Parts: sequence; structure tokens; C-alpha cells
Amino acid sequence: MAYDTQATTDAGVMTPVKTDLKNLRESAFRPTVGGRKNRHFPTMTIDWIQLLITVPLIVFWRLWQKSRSRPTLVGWLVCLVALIALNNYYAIGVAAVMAGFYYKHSAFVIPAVVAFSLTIRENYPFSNFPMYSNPDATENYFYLVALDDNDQETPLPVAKLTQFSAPGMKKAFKSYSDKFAKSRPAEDGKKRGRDDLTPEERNQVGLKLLEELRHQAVASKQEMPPRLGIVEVWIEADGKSGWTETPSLIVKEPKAATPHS
Amino acid sequence: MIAKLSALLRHLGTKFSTPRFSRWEVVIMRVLFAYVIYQSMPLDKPFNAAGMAFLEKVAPAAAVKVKEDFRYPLFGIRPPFFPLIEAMPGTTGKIEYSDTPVPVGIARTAWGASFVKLFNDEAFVTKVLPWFVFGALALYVSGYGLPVALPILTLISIGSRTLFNSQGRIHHGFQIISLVLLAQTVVILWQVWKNWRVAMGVKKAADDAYGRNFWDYLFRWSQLAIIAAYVIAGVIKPIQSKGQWFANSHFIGVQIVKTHRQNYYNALDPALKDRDVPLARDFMYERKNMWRLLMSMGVLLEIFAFLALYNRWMMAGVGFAMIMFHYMNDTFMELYFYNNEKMLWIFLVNIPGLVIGLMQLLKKRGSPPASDVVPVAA
Repeated sequence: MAYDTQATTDAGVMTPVKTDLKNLRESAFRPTVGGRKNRHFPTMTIDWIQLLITVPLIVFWRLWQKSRSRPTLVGWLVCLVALIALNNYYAIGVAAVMAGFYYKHSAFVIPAVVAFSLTIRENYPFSNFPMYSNPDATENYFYLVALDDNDQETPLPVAKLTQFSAPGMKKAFKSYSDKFAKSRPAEDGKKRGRDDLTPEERNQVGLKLLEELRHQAVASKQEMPPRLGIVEVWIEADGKSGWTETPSLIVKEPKAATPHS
Repeated sequence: MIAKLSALLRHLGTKFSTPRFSRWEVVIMRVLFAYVIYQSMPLDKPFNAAGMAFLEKVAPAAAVKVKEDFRYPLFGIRPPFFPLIEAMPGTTGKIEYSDTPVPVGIARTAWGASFVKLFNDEAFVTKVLPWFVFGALALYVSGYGLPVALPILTLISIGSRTLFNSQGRIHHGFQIISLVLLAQTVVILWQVWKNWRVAMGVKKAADDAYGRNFWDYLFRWSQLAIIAAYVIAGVIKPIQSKGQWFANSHFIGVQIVKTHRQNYYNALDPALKDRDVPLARDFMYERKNMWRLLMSMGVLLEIFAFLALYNRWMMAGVGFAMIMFHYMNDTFMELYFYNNEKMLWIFLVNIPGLVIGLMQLLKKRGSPPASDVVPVAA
């Protein structure tokens, strides 16, 4: 056999899926539902306090440079304390801007932009380009399916029916999950990530995504089946000669509700 | 020792500083970049279909090949050239999203969200936007009125792509164009602060104390923006993987399986039905150390991309290496960044600049060394 498929290979083919996903679903919802590793980048944002420190610091620094006065110990200490008060990457960025002014050299633009982008992450046109930054033995993907009354799945060509591609669907599911988790902190007030969502919450997130896909299908004049679902597949390198692929139906529209048909 | 170190730092400081671009180099870079900006604009019909229409008219045989395979390369050679269709005069098309369910960037603010939604407005995109785009591009190419043209183009670029990226899926294909436009806008506004007549082009750009004028800074900052984008993509990998990236890079094989499957589920293409992915096995098991080495070289190229600033030749070398890096990503992982490749050709490889540099080098070698010149008045 070309690769190890376990009992899950069928989920990938275009014929209606015969695999009984019930057991797989249960095993897939392990304590770390939504991901087998923590892919979250440490939270770093620029808040008003940081801006309130940065602006006077840069202005002070620029005026100091322009005045051509000799550097004083107090001046250096003030700058140092201000930088320490800032977030790690952001402080490096501010320091790069100050060094750029000090040495009058354009090359400092690079560390400044790098540090700034690492701080604010995905905010167009800036980005921390997180894709493929943490490769490991597992990866997942999603695909769209039509469901019958027995929850039997038939894969659908998502890019033909909507403006989303399969990778786009995955990215959207992740972003929707992030947004959902952010808006609903844990009972003890702690922040949650997308990996902390329960299966029910993931279903809720997925229903919102399906709603968007239906909306797009209408805009593209494409017809969607009355009942949709989303299958998540986890690929895992087995460390020997192949990999396994474990699908689970993570989102399904309610049986009775067929408002879009 | 300290004197030597100081001399080395001075040398590096000089070498990494803003170079002097020739007049023709500036004109050619400006025209080529304007063309890429045009291609990236969210214009609707007839502009978005103009690329294929043009190709069918001038080279019907090539158009057939492009229809069969959108990767059919320019001049029939890839690498290093990008696909032929990417060189055609077509734009990207109207952004088809009316809302910002997962807002990013300026779309997080109320005014920003209203602004980005303009790029889904049929009347605005078809009747108003072309006037702004072509007017600003005409000014940009002419070199006049840059303080007006650049902010307009930057706002259109950032606004339209922010709407696209606010759907919950981030696309990085146009980021580099927006970043370069932003960098050029910063330089031109700085120049307005210093001397608005020069910035508007009504007065000739004079050299500053370092013998550079604002055109030199405009294009140097464009190079800096491009290089910074690569450095970010490079440094994030060891940061986010806590240094494990190099050891784990062969697991990109898992990503290759993912890409294969996703391509299948996009359109349920029977040609992609085959469930084995030999390349992934090669990555993860058969030649994993070779792939680790190759992948790590790619990341190191990104991290040390700033060395391109050393001189013109390093700039071209790093630019060319980056183009090959993109080609490999396209081939093995189906990750294509054609706009990045175009920008690398224009601003880093910069063939007109290389020709000028070579001519200067030959001229310098042909002339006698300074020590041999006897002062006439001596």
C-alpha cells in the first residue's frame, strides 16, 4: 500500500462517503479540540499607553538630535526606561527608529518595519507572515459536504460554488474561531484561543461560515444543496513511511432547517 | 582594535546607505512599477478581462497554451520568468465581498470599514475608480504631482486589499505592492515637508548633503520595504517554532499532502483523485535531510535578505535568488507569489541598473587610477 490510511481513507474521495464517522468524531474531539498544537502567536498589540510613551520619546529624541547638544546620562536613562516600558518587539522597532535618526541611515527602516509587523501581526498591509512558520507532524484541512438525512456526506467543489477555495475555507474557519473565542472568555475571565472551543462552539462557528458560503453561492448564481456540513481532516505523519488522515464531521446544518433551498 | 572596528562600521555604513540611481533607471523603475500597480487595481470590466483579450489578439497560439496551463511562462522559460498571463495588461477585478466579517487593518475602525466597502460598490468601481486610478498612474509615470498620486494609489491598494483580507482568510499576494506604495508615500510626504515644489515636480530635485535627491530615497525605501517583508517572513519561523523550524522543516511534507487534498476539494478534479503524494513521502522520509537543508537555505535567504543592501550586485544576486526561491515554492508547494516576483525583477534585480552599473565599472577600469593623475597646476 502506498501509504497508511487507517480506517479513514474514504473521506477523501468524491463518491458519497460511506465511512461511519460517529466513532471517529468522538475520538477526534480530544481535550485539545480544534488543533493538536498551540499555533497562537504570543499576544502583542500596541495600546494607547504604548503610543503615549512612544510619541514623546521620538519627539524628545529628534529634538535632542537637532539641538546638537552632548548626550547626557539622564537623557539616555529616560530613553532606556521608556523603551523598557514598551512591549518587546515594539520596543525594538522604536529603538530602530531612534537609531535611524541618530545615525541618519535608511537601513534602520528594516528592523523598524520587522519589529512593527511582528507586533501588529495581520493588519493589512502589515503582516507577520505566520504561514508555514511552525511545521510539525500534523496538519489539517477542511472541505465542504452536502449532507443527507442520515448525515451521509457528499463532497462539494467549494471553489466552483463560492468565492472561497478550500484553503480559504480553512483560513476563514480559523479566523471566525479566533473571533468567537475572543468574544467569549472563560468563566474565570481568562482569554480563550480557537483551540479552546468546545465541539458545540465549533459547530456554531462553522454554521456562520456556511451562512457566508451560501451567501456567496447566491451572489455567484450557484445552487447549493439544502443541507451542508464541514469535514475537518487531520493529517499526521506516522514517522515510518507514510501518514494517516482522520476526518470528522465538525459542522452540520440542522436537519429541519432548509431555509436556503 | 577599536579604530579598526570603527573603520569597519564606517565602511558598512557607507556601503549600506542609499545609492545614487541614474535618471534612466528611475524612469524605467517608475514605469514598470506603475504597470504592476495597474495590474493590481480592483477595476471591473473591461480592464479585468483585458489581459487575456490582449493575448488572444497579439499571440493566439500562446493564449491557447495559457488557457491549458495558467503557469505557461513568459518567453516560454520558467524559471526565472513568471507566467505569461501575469505580464498581460489585465487588472484583478472588483472585490466581490460586501462586508468585513473579520476586519483587519483600517477595516477595524468605523470610517475604515465604510471606506473599504466602497470597493464593492458597483457604481464607484465602474464609474469613479478608473478615473482616480488612471489619473494617478499618469501623474506617477510623468513624475509630476507625486504627493497627490501616491496617496491615492496607496489608499486604493490598501483599501481594496483590506476588504479582501477582512473575510477571515488572509491573502499575502498583494501585500508587497501596498508596502512599497506606503514606503513611497512616506518618502514623498517627507519631501513635501522639506520642499513641496520639488515633491510636486515643478522644481528640479537638488542633491542633499549626502549627494542624494528624493528619487534616490523613493526607490531605496521601496527596496527596503521589499527586503523587510522577506526578513519578517524569515525571522517569524525560528521565533514561532521556538528554534525548531530547521529540524522540523521536512514536515513541510505534511503541508504538501494538505495542498494536494485542498486542490482536489476545490473542484473535485478527477485528475487529483490519486491519494498518494510521492513528493510528500520524499520530503518526510526518503530524502528528508536534503529537504531540510534546502528549506533552511530558503529561510536563511529570507533572514539575511538585508545583505542585499550592500551594493548593486548583491541586490541583484539576492533578488535573483529570491525569484528562484519563489519558483521552488510554486513547484513543490503550489505557493505562488507572482507579484513578489515582479517586484523583485523591478527593484532588486533591476536589469537597467545592472547595465548602468556595468558601464560605470568598465568606465572606471578604463580610466587611470587617481594616483597616476598628475595635477596640471602642480
